[in-house]
Amino acid sequence: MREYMDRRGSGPRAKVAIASALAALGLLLGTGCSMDDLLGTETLPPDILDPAVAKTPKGALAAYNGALVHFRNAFGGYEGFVEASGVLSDELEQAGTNLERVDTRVIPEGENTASSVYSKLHRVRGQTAQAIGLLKDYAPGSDDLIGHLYALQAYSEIFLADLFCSGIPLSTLDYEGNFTYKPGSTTQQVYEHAFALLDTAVSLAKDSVQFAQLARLGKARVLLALGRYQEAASEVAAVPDDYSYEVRYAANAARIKGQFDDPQHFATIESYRSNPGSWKWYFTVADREGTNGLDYISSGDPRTQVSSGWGNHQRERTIYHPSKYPVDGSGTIVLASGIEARLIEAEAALDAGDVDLWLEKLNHLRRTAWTSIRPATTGPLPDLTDPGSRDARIDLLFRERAFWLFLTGQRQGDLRRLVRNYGRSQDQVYPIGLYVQARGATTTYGSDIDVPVPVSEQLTNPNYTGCFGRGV
Amino acid sequence: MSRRFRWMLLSLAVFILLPGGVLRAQAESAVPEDAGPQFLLASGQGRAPVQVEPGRLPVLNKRVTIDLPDTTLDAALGEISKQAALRLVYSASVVPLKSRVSLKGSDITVASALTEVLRHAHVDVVVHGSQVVLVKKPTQPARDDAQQKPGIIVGRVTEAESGTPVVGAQVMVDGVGRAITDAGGRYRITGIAPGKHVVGIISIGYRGTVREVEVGDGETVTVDFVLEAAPTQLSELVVTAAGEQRRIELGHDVTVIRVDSIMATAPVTSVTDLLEGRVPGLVVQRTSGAPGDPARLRLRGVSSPMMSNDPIIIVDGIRVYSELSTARAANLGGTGGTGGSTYATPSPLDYIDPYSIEAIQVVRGPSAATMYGQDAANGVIIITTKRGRPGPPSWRTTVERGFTETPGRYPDLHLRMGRLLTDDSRVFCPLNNWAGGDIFIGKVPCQADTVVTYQMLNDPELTVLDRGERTAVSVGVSGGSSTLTYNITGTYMDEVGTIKLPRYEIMRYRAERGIEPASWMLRPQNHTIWGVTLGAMANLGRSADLSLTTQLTRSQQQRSALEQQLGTLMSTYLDRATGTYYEASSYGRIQDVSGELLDRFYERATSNATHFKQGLALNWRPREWVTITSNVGLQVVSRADEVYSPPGGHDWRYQDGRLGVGKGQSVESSFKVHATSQLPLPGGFMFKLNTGVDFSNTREDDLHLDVRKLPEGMETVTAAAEVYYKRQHYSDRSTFGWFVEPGINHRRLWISSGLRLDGGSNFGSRVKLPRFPKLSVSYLLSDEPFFPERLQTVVGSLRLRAAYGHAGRQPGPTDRLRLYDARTQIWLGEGTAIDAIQLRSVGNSDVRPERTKEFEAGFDADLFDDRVKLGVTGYRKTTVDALLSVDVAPSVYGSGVKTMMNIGVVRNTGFELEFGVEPIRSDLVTWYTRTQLSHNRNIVVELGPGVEPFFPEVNTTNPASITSGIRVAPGYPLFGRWAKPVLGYADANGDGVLDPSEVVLGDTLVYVGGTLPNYTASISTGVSLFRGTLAIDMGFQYESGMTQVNEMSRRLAPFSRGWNDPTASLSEQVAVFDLTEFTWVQTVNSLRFHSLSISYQVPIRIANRLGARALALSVQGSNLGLWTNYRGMDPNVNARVSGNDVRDTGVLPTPRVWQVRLTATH
Repeated sequence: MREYMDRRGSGPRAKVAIASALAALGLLLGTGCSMDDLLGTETLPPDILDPAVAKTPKGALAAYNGALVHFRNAFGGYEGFVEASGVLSDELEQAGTNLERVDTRVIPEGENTASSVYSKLHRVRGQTAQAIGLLKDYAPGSDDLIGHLYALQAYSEIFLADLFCSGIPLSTLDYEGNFTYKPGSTTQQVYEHAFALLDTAVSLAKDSVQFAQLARLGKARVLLALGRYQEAASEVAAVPDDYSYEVRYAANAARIKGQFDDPQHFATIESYRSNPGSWKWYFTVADREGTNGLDYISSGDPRTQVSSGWGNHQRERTIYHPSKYPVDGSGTIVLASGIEARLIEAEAALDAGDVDLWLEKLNHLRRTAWTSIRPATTGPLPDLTDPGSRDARIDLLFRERAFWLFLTGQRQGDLRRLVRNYGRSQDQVYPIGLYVQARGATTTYGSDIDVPVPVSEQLTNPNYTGCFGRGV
Repeated sequence: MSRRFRWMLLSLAVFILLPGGVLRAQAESAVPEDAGPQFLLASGQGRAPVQVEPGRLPVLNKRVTIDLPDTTLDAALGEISKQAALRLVYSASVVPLKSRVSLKGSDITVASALTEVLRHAHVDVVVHGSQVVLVKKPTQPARDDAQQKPGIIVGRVTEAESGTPVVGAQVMVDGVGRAITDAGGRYRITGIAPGKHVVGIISIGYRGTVREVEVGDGETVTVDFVLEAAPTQLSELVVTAAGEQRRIELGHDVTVIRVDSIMATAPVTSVTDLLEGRVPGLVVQRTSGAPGDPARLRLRGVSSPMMSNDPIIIVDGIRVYSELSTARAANLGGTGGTGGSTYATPSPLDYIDPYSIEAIQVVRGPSAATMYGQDAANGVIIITTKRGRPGPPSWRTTVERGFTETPGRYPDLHLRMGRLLTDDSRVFCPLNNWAGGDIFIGKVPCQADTVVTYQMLNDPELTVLDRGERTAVSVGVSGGSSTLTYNITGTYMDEVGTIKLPRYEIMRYRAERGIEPASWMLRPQNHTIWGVTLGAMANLGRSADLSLTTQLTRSQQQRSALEQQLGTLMSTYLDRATGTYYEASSYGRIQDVSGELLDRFYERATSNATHFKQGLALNWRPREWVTITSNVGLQVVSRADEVYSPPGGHDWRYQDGRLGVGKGQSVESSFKVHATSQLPLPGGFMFKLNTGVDFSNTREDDLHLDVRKLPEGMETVTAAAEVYYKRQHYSDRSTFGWFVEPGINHRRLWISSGLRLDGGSNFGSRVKLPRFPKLSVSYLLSDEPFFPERLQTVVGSLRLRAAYGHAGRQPGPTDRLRLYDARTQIWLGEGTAIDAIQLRSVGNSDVRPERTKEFEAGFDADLFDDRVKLGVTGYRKTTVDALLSVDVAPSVYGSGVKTMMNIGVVRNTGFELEFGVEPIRSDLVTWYTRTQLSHNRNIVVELGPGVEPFFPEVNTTNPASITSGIRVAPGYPLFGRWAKPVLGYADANGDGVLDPSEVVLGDTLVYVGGTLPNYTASISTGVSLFRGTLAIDMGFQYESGMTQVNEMSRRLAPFSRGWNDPTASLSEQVAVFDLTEFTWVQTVNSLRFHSLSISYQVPIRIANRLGARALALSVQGSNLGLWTNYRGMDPNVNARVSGNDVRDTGVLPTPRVWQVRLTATH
């Protein structure tokens, strides 16, 4: 037995063989392959960037561009802010069933009405935070771009405050860190947060007139919302008449298929005309909507020109298209401008009791800014006269704002300011009365002047409990 | 190399090398004295056995403790056999079994025990592999008598079950090997001295047997043997992650399916067919009855809310691609932006040729699967292919031919026809006397005049159902020598499905398009699969062997959207006067669906897959006590899928023609090396150690392209076509693990423990390797001295077992990262397009693998001389750190952003019972019955803080208006079905007709039921007559407790009697207004007559005349009957291609199959 075991078990050949096997195993594990090599972890799926790739000047700039794309969609894209705020106010009526609850001002909490615009605006906030972090760390000397991003982040928050109820969570997505769920902020807190961002933007973008003016106009817009008219006027005093920050949209032909960042604006109907089975524009420019609405069509005002003729939808109504926006989805939507600056100064003058200055500011625009109207018109527009009373002057001021700033996302904020700062009741400024639904049914306008935060926020954000209040 | 791995290597070396010295020390003192029988080692090839030291033979070195003061030799041998789990073969004519012996010894070797009890028995002990045969001591040479002439013994050895010859069996006369059976199973031994002799047969895989014969002077005596395959026993070897182990050593239950015997009697076309109904705890959910369609496999319920619940598949020690229910299981050409249908494609599991398989083992949970790594939490399917046996080439040819048909009739529709009061046009005019042509046009009054009974699918001219055909041919050859064995199997299967283009539509196609429909439109369902499998094993000297497996399979499946229209067609009325198809819309209104329906008649989906697998296994035994095994494997599946619609459709999406092309490849590579060593310890203990490392990598790379505006006649991507959508999917996942599995055995007790450290691919991050432990215990209670003697006559063996183990599922390789999407060529209005990146996912750096822990315990018993077998297992499987893709609140980065989180606990508890009984066992008649019953209870124990119950699948996208769906909620089954209930209804206005306002729906969703059955059972029974010449086998399957949406009820509600017969009750009307699916959900119970086979072994002489060594003919049928409370067509065809919902959308039910199979052995 001893002989057997010796022969089989402990010969030098066996030792060599075992040692060889272990050496081979060791070689596999140790010398040639690290754990990461072995697991092949250095390959990412297509269309996904290695996070390290973004950490370059070029990557940081690409992240900046990404923020601009998101803002474009959130502002004037399909289901963006201009569209949703236009439907809730008196600028647009829905022609189908798309945003019927918003249009009829019956928007109960616990649903996901207008969740798309809510999502898009927050996406701008998240993306700008990422891009700001990358630019700061990897693209030195990009202060003006960073300032630009702060401004766009602030505008997103202004839009949130204009459209949604009091109680908006401003959760944060830290650069290279975790996200933090925040509880709701009041409307005033959101405006103030935006103001702080704009302050930062102004200081960072001091070398870029374009971005600095955008930030100043944003600050003024916040100050108007907060009722601080004189400070608002001071902010925009240096903004020239011909200043304009425009968000550009591409025609259908430029669309990059298969990607969600559709560069067309909200008012395109080109795709419907060429292909009736596809998506179409579900809205129409309103005219005296719900009694209180302005006469955007019937006034014949060149600033709110419309065209019609693309058929009806479920509400059996003629669809009027805003002529200032090409039907193929191209063109620009003005985010901030010298016209807006002069209107702010006029409002400050009215607030100060300087009626002459107020009227002068308004007529100055009518005499000089008519050249900016699209489609082009003859000018100048005739001067206005003082209607004589404070209320009438306020009405005239807001009418002028509505027409100069038609379908640029200003009207909803103006209507809420009329309620909040000027003591008007919502029944005096928002559409009221009978509302004709699809297929001939009727209902009446509700009493909501803002949109509740979508229920999806409440389902996922443990710190969020809902709106603090509606209509404030 | 990290310190961790240096330590692993060191430990590996220590564990391998340490036992050697101790083993030597033990072995030196273990030599028994030879005082009685001689110990001989069978040497084969006709040579006489050689005498050996018993200590050299492990089988004689097993330890027993015996205290038998005065007993029969028979009892003593039985005791030794039991304790050592030894198969002793002897004959009463050779061994004086009734003689009295005494034996007392503690922890002595088997050799010592046998020496003692056989001291005066005049027998020798011949060891042949694991079998020990007692033979008469050789007699003194015969007296030289000129009057005596030597005799001859001849005979034939066949297999009991199939009647085929047993090749290479060793025939012994009086314990001396004298002959090996030839290719015909025949042997011939000459020079036999006249007188009584004992003839014995030994062959691996069969029960040994002996027979006494008397050979006369110069006489030729024929002695035939019929060998029974060694039944499933505790000594059976099963495959584990650490190599082969005896079943008795395992603390968990494992199901072993011997494939050859099933293939001989059952209508099997795939591995899925082999598994269905043969594995307790396995639920097979089929996607449709179309040829080649895959099934979803669930072992012991579902555990993961988010990750795959598919088991992994190991073939010959290497891992193969096993994604059965992910999105990639669908046709790669049809999942893009075309809006076309989604088509299932054949399962990767079914690329494996069932004829090439020797055995399938199924381990069902982490308690058994720990050593397979972190992806093994859903169980492991282990497939062993054939390697061949020594002997001359043995050919086996199988030919199958049969037909398929859709069982049952579709229910008749009741149509109340009438005329519109406004324009007198003919319309459906249901009970409420309102009709309309479009849902938007409100109520239009109508006047009913007739009631029509109709069902398109039962109309011979209009139905799309026909008889299908099935053909299969398989040829195999196996054989080899003592140094090399081989098996080559080639199989071809072809099936034409039951769907056809009806005559009426052929004529319509001609009329509308002016051309003949293409040939594929006429019979759109076809599945062809062919493959070649080569398995070989070579002995590399005395201490090593090498196994090779090569498999090449080609699968071609064709189908069309026509089969997906069954749900629509069974609830559609064709107005033949106008050629218009009408379907009911909500509330009894109807709509013209002609365009949509007919477009879907002509969408073709093809899926072609080429599967190549190469596996290499090297076993090296450098020392007697250690074996090192290495497996290397590579599997490549290359797919080319298409979904094609010719131009000319009615709907604008189909007008220009379109083609979706999907090219995909998956590569699964694996490597494993492990060592097994044994070490005897003092006191009768045996220490065993398995340790090793393994690595597997799965890569998927798919490219999808959708084009439109195809020129007439073009079915390929051309320059003229417009690219509409393109996408690439790429995935690369790896796991690496190191495991150590120490175990100890003491007599009748086996304890095994283990620990596995696992690494998964995690891009850019180093994470702590998760640890997966295991512990198992097996105890052969019936062999204990205290086991009551009176029970021993009944209980052949009784084993208790328990096992506990962990396994997991790794998150995706990028789930930890914050990732960006590349958006190139973005137009921002500043001239040229620019590059942009946007956040894709927020990532979670803390995410860990999901961990499933399982405890199972049970017992196995053989009763009444192995006539009754009973196995019972209970289990409790808990998944913690369940991975969920949780919605991030939109205030962070908008909606649609998710992050992977370890949240939630899911538990499965249940039991599995296996019961086999053989009431009659004789040469003339054998009758067996086997029953499997399993129960599973699944529950979501908790979700983590901040995670609300959620709906992975709903029938609406608005959370505020969900009316039904699949929900994950604590206290309820994972993927339970929820719906808003119908609280009541009343005819408020007294008109005898319900309308929607008179049906009250609940405001909140309630739990309706689970989506997996609570109980599954299968019963198989068979009678074998005349030593297996004629056999009849039957199989039944039972399921209960699963709920599913009965699409047929929903679709047929507007055509029900309740909605068309004024005398119908309100309860018959209410289903029309149930938009929540509540009343359409059924809890299903079903009993299926699953299979029937009648097999006949053609007499040998006839088979020989026909040129075959053996010939078997069988007639087989499957899906022959269904007894169920389900109101749809087939309650068990319900799974979606991917995901977890079960829903009968009116898909093709399981076909009924009848076929004839002829098997010839050459």
